[in-house]
Amino acid sequence: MAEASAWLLAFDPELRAAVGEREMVHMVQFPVLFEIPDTPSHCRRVLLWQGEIVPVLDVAAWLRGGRAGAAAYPLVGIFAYQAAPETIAYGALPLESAPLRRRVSDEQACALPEQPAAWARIAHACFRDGERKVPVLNLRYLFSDALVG
Amino acid sequence: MNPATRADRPTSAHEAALVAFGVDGHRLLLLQREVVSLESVLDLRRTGIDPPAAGLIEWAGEDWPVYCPSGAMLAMTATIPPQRRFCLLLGDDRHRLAILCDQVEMLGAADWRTRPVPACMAKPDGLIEALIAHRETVDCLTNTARLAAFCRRAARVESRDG
Repeated sequence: MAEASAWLLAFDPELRAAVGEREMVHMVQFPVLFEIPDTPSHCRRVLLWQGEIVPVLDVAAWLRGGRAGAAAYPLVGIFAYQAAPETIAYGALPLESAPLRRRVSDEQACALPEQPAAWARIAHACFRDGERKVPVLNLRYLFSDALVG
Repeated sequence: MNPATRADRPTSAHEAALVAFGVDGHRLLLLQREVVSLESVLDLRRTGIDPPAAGLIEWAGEDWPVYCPSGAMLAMTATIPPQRRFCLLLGDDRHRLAILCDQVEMLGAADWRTRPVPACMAKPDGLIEALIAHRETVDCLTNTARLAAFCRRAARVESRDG
């Protein structure tokens, strides 16, 4: 039975997802954000982190078909993913609270939640954490151009 | 993963003079060589305009369409807010237009290292050509062609929405 560590992320009081343990590289409280005009409504701002320009993508806003709020985010996680062979890229996700670590085994695998239906586009697996289904984010897809437009 | 390679490393450098202009808190940069002239908003003609243009301005014997982006979305408006004091005339080989703005600043020549707009933010034909990280801030680089396309898109939206 295979086991792996994951970070459990809370985007709002209802929406949860997870990433692999090594995919989250940093957290920033009250980050300074820069608005970029003419960008998708769920991803309008960037932050500077260690000299990198990192897009901030509001997963909750995208899943619900809304706009990212104009208010400051109290907490964002910074995530690393392999954008291409031998190429690391970074993306940031606003979080409601500090992530929680979980050990996840194959036995916890389950189907994605039926709602919001758009989970199927951005998650490549799902596991059960108590009574809750937790989609596992496909960061490479999430931060690609697939959700633009 | 090889941490030596990063996806958004600087891809090019502009050792050219830039101009920064501000609209409702947005700050956009473009190459100084695309700036044809800087005029006063008081010189605008408001008759015979073709929406979403906010007016016309005469330069070198020709009328240039003047656009007034406004608000968080930089939506085109025909109502010119009092803070729009400058009219920036822009031109390249194919386009010419004027943009009303609140502030204009000449930044001079420097080694501007540009980075691509992150893939998850980059609309095809989008307003922003590249981003520039400079002195703990992030600026947006645009150009005349992208501004012209942005204004054309606004025209299509206005036409569609009646």
